[in-house]
Amino acid sequence: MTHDHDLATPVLAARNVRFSYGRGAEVLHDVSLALAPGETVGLVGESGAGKTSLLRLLLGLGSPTSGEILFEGRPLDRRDTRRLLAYRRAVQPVYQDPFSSLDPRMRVGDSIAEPLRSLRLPGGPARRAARVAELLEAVDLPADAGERFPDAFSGGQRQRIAIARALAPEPRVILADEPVSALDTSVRMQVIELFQRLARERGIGMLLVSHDLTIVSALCRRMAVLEGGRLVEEGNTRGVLTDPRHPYTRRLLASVPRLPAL
Amino acid sequence: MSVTVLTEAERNPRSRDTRSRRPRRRTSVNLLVGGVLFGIIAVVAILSLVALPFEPSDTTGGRLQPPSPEHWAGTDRLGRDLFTQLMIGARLAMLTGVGAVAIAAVLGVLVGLVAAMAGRWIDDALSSLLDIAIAFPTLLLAMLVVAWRGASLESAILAIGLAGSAVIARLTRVTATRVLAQDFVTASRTSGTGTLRLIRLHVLPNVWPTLIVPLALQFGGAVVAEASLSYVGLGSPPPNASWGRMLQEAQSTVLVAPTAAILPGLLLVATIIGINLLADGLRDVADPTGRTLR
Amino acid sequence: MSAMLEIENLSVHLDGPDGRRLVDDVSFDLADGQRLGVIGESGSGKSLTALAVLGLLGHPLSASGSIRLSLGDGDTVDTVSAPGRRLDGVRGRTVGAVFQEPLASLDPLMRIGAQLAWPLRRHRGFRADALRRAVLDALAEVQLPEPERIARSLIHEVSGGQRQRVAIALALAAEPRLLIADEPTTALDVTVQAGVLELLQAAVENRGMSLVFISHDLPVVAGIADRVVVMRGGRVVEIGDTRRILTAPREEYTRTLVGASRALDDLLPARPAGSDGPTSGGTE
Repeated sequence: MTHDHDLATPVLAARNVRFSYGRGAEVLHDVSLALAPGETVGLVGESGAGKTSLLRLLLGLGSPTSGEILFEGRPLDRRDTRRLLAYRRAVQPVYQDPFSSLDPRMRVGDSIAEPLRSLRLPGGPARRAARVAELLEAVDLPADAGERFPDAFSGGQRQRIAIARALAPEPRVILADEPVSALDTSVRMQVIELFQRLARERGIGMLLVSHDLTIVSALCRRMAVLEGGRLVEEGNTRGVLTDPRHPYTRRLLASVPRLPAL
Repeated sequence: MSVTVLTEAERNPRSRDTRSRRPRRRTSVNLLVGGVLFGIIAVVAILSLVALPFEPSDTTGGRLQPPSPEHWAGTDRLGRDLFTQLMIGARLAMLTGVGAVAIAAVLGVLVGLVAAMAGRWIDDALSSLLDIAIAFPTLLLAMLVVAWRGASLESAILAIGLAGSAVIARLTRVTATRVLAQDFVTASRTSGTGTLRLIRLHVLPNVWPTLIVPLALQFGGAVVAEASLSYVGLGSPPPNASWGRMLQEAQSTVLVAPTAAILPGLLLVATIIGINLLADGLRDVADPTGRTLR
Repeated sequence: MSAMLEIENLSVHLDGPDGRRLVDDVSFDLADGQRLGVIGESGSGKSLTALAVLGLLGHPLSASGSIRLSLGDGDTVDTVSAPGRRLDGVRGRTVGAVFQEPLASLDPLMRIGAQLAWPLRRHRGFRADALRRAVLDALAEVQLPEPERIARSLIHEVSGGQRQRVAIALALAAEPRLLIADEPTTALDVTVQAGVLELLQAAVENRGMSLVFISHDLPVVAGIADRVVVMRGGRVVEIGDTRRILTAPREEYTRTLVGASRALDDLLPARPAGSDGPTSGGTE
């Protein structure tokens, strides 16, 4: 990337965001959250807390009822196509259900290359193919995986493919919605490790939306707790997990099933 | 920390080899029989454009002759060569099928996609419209079209295609709605993919496998519908008669010259069985691993 | 102690020429009053085993082998070979079941009270006022707030956690000797899960029931079961006391599973002493 990114300006931020679906009840009440460059933030909450709504707003899939979504410090204007393109390149999603996040009729390589074309990144077919190979390697999949269709892969492998696709435009931030909840335990750890490595080696920022404190603890330096559409607690992950302030956070932490100590 | 890994394929309960072995074998038989039946009719239809044994309006053969080395299928009550008419009938059947299916496919997919992707209001309006259209009898629609444009093959094709498009539109709407709700569509949108590209890249490839079989069945249905229309006199007029018209004309002389009635009937049945088998086979070719969206 | 459940050489296979075995030669048993956890990842055959115990496998699945359920009076029934009519009397009365998705096991058009009344009436003979009281007691036992209101509600009118509590009340209504819980908390939020687990544990203890608890989640199983069966690819990998499985797994696969769970568990700070166990979950 040739741009100079201001290290102090958050890449992505929600400022006093309120949101409701149509004329329904408000699902987000005055939520503010900022993501500094390279920062990893966990957004924790249970169903109905408003996590997914907030994520959709941050992904530009809807507009807040009031308040603003800021990209690199400035509100997004849908008419400013150049900036919108920059935003789409910089912010990439990873979803929960690995069986729904890949087009079953598209070769894996084409799926991974799709953002490169849609986002009008430079390079012809040869360069795209090289990039796909590179991305497959980055997520520990064999190079020939690109030739196959998603049905040849297990849930964990599909999630790796979805991650490779998100990495394709060299985003500054990945927004991940419950990226490991649908996976078996033994695969979960591997995907978590992959995320850890990406954050470490590529300096990619991450907003991880999850009900699972384990993955947030593994991947996020900072965490925010959302309850009933409000941010009830925010802070350094270690700090919040060892010394939760808000009663809801405490209850959440106490509810996690634990293995008996050895 | 190191966590040993199980091969992921082992854990994948839906891996490729665990299904569709049996269906695939049946498929090749369907495809073969259907392809041969349908192929013969199609070749005859094409040949009819190049060469015919007799002029269609040549009445020199003597009336109601049985099959002979000269007139392979005999002659009709005006002395015209039946084999020639059967060949022309094949061409008309193909034209009807292709034309009606093309109209149904283009119009149906277009309307279905608009309903699926436009807002709630348009969707509701289109859906109600489709309900009415589906309930409307094809024959009645055909009469309206004939009243408007006059009895001709084109009128019949237009009417049959219009009637079929409502079903295709509804199918498209349902499938497209399901596809649009998938995460890969959202992922594509967040990559800035435009609506048209989204349709071409993700929606159509996932919708069309569900349309192959209905469209193929409509092909068969269109051939039958055209035969019915011709039978009641709303199809293309002689001497370029369709099988339906031939059946109607042979009706009065069926005891004297049964071949004139039997042959067009047999060809109709063969075409429809052929296209149905082909439809079944095609579905599996288009979707070799059952890659259809859940 | 006598056996509540004895599974011997159970296999479940697909009908037809394919005939793939989905459960392959599984044997284990469960003593009266014991709590057994069955753990496995997707495709391990754990849920099919549960369905076989309930005699609920239907086309295209068939079972072979034997599953002996103790009826409590010295008599047993084999749910693999017993005729359907016989099993109707066994399900609910001898063995109750709770599944992952409560919506799937509850009638959407019947008031919750009426659904609960049926087994209470049929198996325990309550009538009229006594029946009404029994329904409310059953709802109160699963710690549902305002039992009167819940009894009048339809299932989609209550929250996910409350639905599962209703499903548990329904499974317990006929006072079965064995409860089979198949991923009963997987679809629930963590705080709600904690409450439902506590409730299950209390119900099993109070009634002296046996429990088969099926889950993919080792910490959840470890919290509720005395003994664990580890399954993979339709086979039993290892059986042992929970503590032994966790501390000294013998099989490679069990080690993998325990290792992965332990690695995930280690990501959270150790639970401060004295604060363990969730606060009781009534708010959902």
